[in-house]
Amino acid sequence: MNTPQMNPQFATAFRARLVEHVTADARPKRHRRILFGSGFALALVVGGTAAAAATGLIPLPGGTATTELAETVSGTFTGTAALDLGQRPASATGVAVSLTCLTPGRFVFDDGAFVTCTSAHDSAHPSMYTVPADAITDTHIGVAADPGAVWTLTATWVQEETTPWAVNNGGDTYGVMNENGEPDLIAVVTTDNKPGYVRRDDLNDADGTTAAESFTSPEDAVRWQEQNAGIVHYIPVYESDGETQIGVFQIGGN
Amino acid sequence: METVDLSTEALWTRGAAGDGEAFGLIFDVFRDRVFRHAYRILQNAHDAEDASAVAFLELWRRRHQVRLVDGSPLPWLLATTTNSCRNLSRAKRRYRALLETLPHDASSPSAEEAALNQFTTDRALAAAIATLTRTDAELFALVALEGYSIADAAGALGLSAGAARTRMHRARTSLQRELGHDTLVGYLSKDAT
Repeated sequence: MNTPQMNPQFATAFRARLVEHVTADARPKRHRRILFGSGFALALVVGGTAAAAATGLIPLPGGTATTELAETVSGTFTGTAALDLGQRPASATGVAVSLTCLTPGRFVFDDGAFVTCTSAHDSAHPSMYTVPADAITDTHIGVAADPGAVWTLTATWVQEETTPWAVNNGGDTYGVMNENGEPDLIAVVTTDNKPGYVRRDDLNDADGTTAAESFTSPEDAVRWQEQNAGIVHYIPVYESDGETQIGVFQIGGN
Repeated sequence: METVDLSTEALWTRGAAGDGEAFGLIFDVFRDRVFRHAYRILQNAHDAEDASAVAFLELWRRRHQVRLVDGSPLPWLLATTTNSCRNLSRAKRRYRALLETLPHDASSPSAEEAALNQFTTDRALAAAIATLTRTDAELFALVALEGYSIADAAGALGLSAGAARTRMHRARTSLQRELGHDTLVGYLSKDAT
């Protein structure tokens, strides 16, 4: 008996897209948000890698200590291309990259993370990121882009280590969010640009994390977002002692 | 000796945790069943391909809500396929960008369609499914088209067996009244085991 079958070409193409979709979607969201969340998370919650790379300072507790292991290489390319990094050091955990888009477009790294540039304004702000070493084949770091898209990439092999959170006199951990989770006091920048810490519970109450625990369906989440759209929350920002208030942190609004 | 566990349950555990390759294997295992199910409802190969693709993408998106029957996500996947078929244009909207990149066979489908024609007797059934509510349609398609017991179909849909029996009875009555076509007799009189 003949039975209908999916067209093999369609099946092959869809299978590849499905695997890609699942793999990309399964990556921790926060990782991408810190880097590419249209400036929102980058500007407000201090991410480990982003903070260290952007300020050049010693990382905050729980942040990532990055050691460069090779000479920095760079190049300017059009369309999809790859940059030769030179021999991979044995202790490399990733490749630190700084991508500047010279034309609008979408620029995808080997691990699926991407930068989207929409205007010439974006050229003035390189995107910093570390591509995990296991996403790199041989010694080349690739960027997939539209045929006409122009970009400059600076990259080097690095070793990254997550530093431990610090503990204050009250026994609370403080530092930045990382793959181990969230400390009791989370590093942020106040509305007037002072570095400090918010209490994890305050942040969770304000950003919907607490509410999300009672969601039983995607519809619940959508409803919560609609109900809270446009509502601005301000929560206190403390010094690392968790008691001395130095300002406020804004959630929601612009 | 260490062996790789390729059971459906193990694949599902890995796939739902975000292992893309495991999800690819889930697709390999179930794609023919899902496509056939979609084809029987839609009677069109292109649409059935799209409905199948949507069902697998929904399987991922709603992975935390999937109800396994004997360790398998297949009944849930088939029920989702039924629903994608009933609202195909709406179901495709969420995945339009992805679906548009997929190649449908552009050649004349005549030879293939000829082989598929034996399924045209399902046409009345497909029309019938469109008249039922979502849950009734999913339940009815699992039992009537795929041969699941009411108890297993109920498990996949999160219904109690009693509620599923009531729904099946109501669906059959409704279909017999509205679409009492000859080709439906077999399905409509079928007693689930």
